[in-house]
Amino acid sequence: MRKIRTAFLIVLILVVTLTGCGAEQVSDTADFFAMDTYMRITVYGDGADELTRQAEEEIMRIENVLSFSGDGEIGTINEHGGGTVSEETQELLERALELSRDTGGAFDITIYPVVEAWGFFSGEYRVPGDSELSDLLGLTGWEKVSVVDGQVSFQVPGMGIDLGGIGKGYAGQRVHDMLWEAGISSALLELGGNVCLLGGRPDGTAWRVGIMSPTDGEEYVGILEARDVSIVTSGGYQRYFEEDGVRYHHIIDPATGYPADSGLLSVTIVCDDGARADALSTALFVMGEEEAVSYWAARDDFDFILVTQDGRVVITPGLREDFQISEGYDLEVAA
Amino acid sequence: MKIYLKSWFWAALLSFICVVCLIIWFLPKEAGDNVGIYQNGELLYSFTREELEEERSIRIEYNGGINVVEISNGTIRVAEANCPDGDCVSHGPLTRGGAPIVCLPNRLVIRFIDAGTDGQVDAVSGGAG
Repeated sequence: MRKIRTAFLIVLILVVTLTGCGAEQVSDTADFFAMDTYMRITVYGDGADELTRQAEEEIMRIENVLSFSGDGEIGTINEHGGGTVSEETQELLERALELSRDTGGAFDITIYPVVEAWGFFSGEYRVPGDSELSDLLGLTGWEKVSVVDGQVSFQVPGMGIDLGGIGKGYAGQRVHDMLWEAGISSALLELGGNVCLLGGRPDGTAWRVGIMSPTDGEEYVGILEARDVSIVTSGGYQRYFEEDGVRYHHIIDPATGYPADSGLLSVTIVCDDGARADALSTALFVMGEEEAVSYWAARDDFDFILVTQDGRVVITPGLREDFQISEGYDLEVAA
Repeated sequence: MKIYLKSWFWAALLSFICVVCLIIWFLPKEAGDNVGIYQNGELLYSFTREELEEERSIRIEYNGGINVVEISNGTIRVAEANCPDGDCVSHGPLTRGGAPIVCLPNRLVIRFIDAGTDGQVDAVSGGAG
């Protein structure tokens, strides 16, 4: 009789825990402003509160190091036209330059003086003249930056670096890796529009990430089910200004100095490297659909969701099973 | 015979608990309706769904920055702001499916207090970057 009762007790405990009648899993969330955006980090598992605090500190640290102004490493280089950087910054700069090379300059960390002239850093927006832009373009070009043994130098005086197109993705990846090493198997990192997923949801199912509609911020073009990847979207629909009835957005085409006008409304990159996802979302937005598809086809080691001006949503075959499109959009699969 | 009866009793009890747990498990997860106004991550105000029905206007200041939050008919929005971009005003009312209302310059966030958004998605990827 005692055996039967013990067996029932064990089954009972199992049932209670498995059906969720037991205590909920520990989680903690931090909300804060950093890197010129609003961030939210949610960590599930033991030690969540302490790890969430550490994650926030890590992002603040990276922000200080990478900020294009101020007394961080990149700010100092911009002010002095070169200088020495730490090993971490050197590695990130080398990766950024490699991504610039690989994207044919569609992603370019030296576009800084041009973006500054448009007022996207200060918020004092203006449309620079053609001659001003062509002069400023002379101060850009990733191939004019050299990084050797921690020493950064520019070929042309007046050049500068802005890691804004890769910094958030990098920060997300760093925090992801830090949490992973601490034994966390479920976390959701929302860094502005960048989403970095650690594992799946605490119940083991995949996370569901809405891809914001470029024309209506309250709707999604679709929902992506994913785990353990970074999902980064670039679009010209959130940061822009209007002058004389023309809309100027913040993604500047390094080839022209003007906001990229490639026929795309937004580009979402899905890949397991946050920094790369960040850089590629900008690069493919600048490239436009045709070039973006051939860039992807030549590598086939990441996925994308493109939203075109004519209302189509183009995805890579790798997302076919996991992407549910919203009503009103035409889905196409790139080949 | 006595043992059989007792086993039967335990089995019935167990089945009952299983059923109760399953019902709880499959009950629709009620999303929290409370809305919070945060400044620099700190909760300044919170409202239940009922409280959002009462019409009111709240002026929030931050280092010279001003946001005027308006609540009426169950909705909450930023009606006026002196920030340069005005994103918080153009965002319109807070909806469960959409992104939180954020005023970057004034470090202001208006969002649902529970972690999820609308139960439909866990997070939203958008083109701020």
